[in-house]
Amino acid sequence: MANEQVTVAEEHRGLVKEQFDDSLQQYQASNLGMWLFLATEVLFFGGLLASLTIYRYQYFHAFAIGSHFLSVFWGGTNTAVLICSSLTMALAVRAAQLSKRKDLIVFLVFTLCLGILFLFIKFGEEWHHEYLEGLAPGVNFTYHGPHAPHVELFMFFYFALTGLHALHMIVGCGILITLIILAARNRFKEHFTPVEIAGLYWHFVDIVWIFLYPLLYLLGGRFGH
Amino acid sequence: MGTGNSIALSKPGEEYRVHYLNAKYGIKSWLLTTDHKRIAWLYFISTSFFFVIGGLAATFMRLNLVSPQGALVQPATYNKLFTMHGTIMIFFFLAPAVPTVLGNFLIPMMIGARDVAFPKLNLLSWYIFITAGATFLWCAISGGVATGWTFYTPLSSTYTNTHVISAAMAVFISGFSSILTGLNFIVTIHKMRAPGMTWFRLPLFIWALYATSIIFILAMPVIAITMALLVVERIFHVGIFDPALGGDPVLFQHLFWFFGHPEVYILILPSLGVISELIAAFSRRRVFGYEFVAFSSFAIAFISFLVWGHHMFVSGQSIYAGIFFSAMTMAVAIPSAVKVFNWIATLYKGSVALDAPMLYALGFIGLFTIGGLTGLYLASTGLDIFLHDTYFVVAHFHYIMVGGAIMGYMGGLHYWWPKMTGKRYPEHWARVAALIIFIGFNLTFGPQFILGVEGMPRRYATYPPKFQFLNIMSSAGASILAVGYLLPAIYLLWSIKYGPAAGPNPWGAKGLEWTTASPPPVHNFDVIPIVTEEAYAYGHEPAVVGSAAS
Amino acid sequence: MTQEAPSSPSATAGFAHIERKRLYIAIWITLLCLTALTTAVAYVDLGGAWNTVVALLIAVGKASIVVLFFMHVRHVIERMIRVVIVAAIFFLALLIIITVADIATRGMLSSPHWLTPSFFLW
Repeated sequence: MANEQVTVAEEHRGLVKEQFDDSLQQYQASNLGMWLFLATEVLFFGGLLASLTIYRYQYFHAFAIGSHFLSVFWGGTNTAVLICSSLTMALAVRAAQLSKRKDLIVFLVFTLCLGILFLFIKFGEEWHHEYLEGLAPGVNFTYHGPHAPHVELFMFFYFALTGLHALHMIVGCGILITLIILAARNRFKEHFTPVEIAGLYWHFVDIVWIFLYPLLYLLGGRFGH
Repeated sequence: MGTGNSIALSKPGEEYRVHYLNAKYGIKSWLLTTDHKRIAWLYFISTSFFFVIGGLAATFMRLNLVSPQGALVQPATYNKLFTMHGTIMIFFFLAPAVPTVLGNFLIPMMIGARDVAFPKLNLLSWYIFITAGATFLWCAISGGVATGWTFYTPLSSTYTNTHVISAAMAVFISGFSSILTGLNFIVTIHKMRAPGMTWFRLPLFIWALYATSIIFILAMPVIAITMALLVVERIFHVGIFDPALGGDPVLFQHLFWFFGHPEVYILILPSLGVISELIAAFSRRRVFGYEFVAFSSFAIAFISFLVWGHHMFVSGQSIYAGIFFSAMTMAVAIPSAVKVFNWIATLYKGSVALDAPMLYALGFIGLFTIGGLTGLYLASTGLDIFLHDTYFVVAHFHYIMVGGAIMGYMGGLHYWWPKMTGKRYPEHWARVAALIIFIGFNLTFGPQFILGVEGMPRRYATYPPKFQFLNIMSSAGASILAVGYLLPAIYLLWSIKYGPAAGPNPWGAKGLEWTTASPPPVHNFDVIPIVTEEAYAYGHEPAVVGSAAS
Repeated sequence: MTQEAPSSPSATAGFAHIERKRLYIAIWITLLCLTALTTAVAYVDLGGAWNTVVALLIAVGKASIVVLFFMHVRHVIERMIRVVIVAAIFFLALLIIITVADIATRGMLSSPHWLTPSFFLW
């Protein structure tokens, strides 16, 4: 059986940690562990999302005004960037599963570049712009139109949610850099679990953005403004 | 006696054996260990330290309440004392104590594994915990915080000038320690069981810790983000929870108690699991209705997420939400009662041995029942308006937290102490201590029920003179309780050096942890066991307690 | 270029299902189209809360696609993972729904007209 040979090979190279019986058990445990961590993350973002829902329900118009200050163009572009990075990440995992080292490194580098592009647009283009516009609550908030306090509340949630998301992106980029270095050292030969786990994390961060984009940028529709 | 120290390895009749305690020496071998048994000791030392600090705060409070005018401290200091007591006891002692000390030590042993699934993560959890604890101590040293452990806004975000930020950060950090522990436990229980260890052969302690871990995973992230929001609001003055700036303070309470009530079950569920173990071992019977007891842990964990609003009956919450939360709170009584009735049914016609761990278990059943039933009083929306924020509430949750959670912890600690250290403690002293704790506890918190019904509000440094008699009674009880806690600290430490060797199975109990040597070898089992029988497969043999042979 | 068949004798494929490259690209195009769709719909007045509902439905659809295909839940061998996903969504929903229910009914101080003592008696 090819499987048993692999198992022996992985154990021989010290890739199966001593607490595990075999590489299958290790693979399943690592996968389950990552999913449990993602469940935690859902509730971590969940506290913010619940607060956003409450206030959106109560101050719908103020939140719509706040939402119209955001750039749909850059938000949409960033959504596309992240979806592309998810594709390259999925392909990277596939390359790791097939032990194709060159493909793995290429796709990981692509993913990293897209991640950095996302952060660049987020901070360099959007946050910078909104800060200059006087839309940064607690720091530089100069909007004095209707519903000003609640518009500020919306802008806070915008910064909090995108900031928390960006923090996860930064962590994700760090993980990608580590993976690239390890892949260059040929550490994932016939041992793709770390790449797959990192992929799960990266896709999750993508999913968070899939929800943040409509919730923040498209809130209440863009018609008639 | 007295020869069982480190020279014991040359004692005649006792062969030198490598186990997890003597496999390596030096401070580095402890601080960098990934052995779950050593990490359990790290947690034991650190949580015990926090228990002492939290206990000292309680001591000062009880001393202050001896006199109606406040015998010892200024009201502002008193506020800091009860905040420190609550925060430390809940986040740094009760929540970690049973899962990270007994759970860490026993989960791999009970399911027949060499270690937890992620040993490095396990060590990381401890370092995160220590970081959180250090942050809170820094907060306490730099002046303390006076919001109560609940950090209610807008007091915490706007009005108080105490050190909210460092305290909130400490809670934030400690959440991640618990999350990683819970994650580790769930994966371990799922994937690391020995061959033949099916789900329904697992000890009930494992079921209870599994349910606890689910709460860790789902509730802790919510408190983390809530504390982060509180810190941001305090620093940047954005009105997330501040009504003056358009925020909703009741939203803070929603988020806090979505975590906070499940947290209460984090504290009690592991002890419920310990009690199931103790009752089975000391009445020599399989736990009556094993499946029901197992699933009741899950039912408690699940319903605990549906009851949080019973803390908010008088906070301006909708009356319809109040009705829902009240009904759900009543429902928690059902799985809790399932446990209590099944324990009592287990005792029936069992060969009950009244060793120290069993004394704690029996005390637990009584105190937990009182604590649970008074919880039903508070769950009634009408009665709660009368009892809210009185000493009745204080007495109620101390019957659960101290009478329940700590009694379970003490019982478990005594039961597994011979396994952890390889030594036996003096049984007579242990029984005396258990009795003193039971008496001292009831003297401390029993009067507080009456104080609450008579209308004494909680969290005040002073009170009308008519309450003085019961308060003195309570303080006197607290000093008895303190003696009760000091005794085990002395004789357990003594036993590490001077106690007689315990042997693999001093209680004659069932369970994989008793099949290996005491203290266990580094990888727990010389050969991974193959499980062929149910949990608690006690025959009808009489209870022979005290024989070191197996 | 020839595609590696999912059953190709890959050394490590033993316990992981390997998807076709073509499928990933199809998923990627679908996700981009849905992003365009959700942006376009935002500029059309669907009336009332429907814009929000449609936007969220599309988001749920996109997220499900990512979870099922990119995150391999379609072929996951550990069934517990599905339980974990459902549990996370369920408890998030609990938090949001119950909190919103409180806010929505907070102003209702008198009981609704149908809620009379006789309501409980039949």
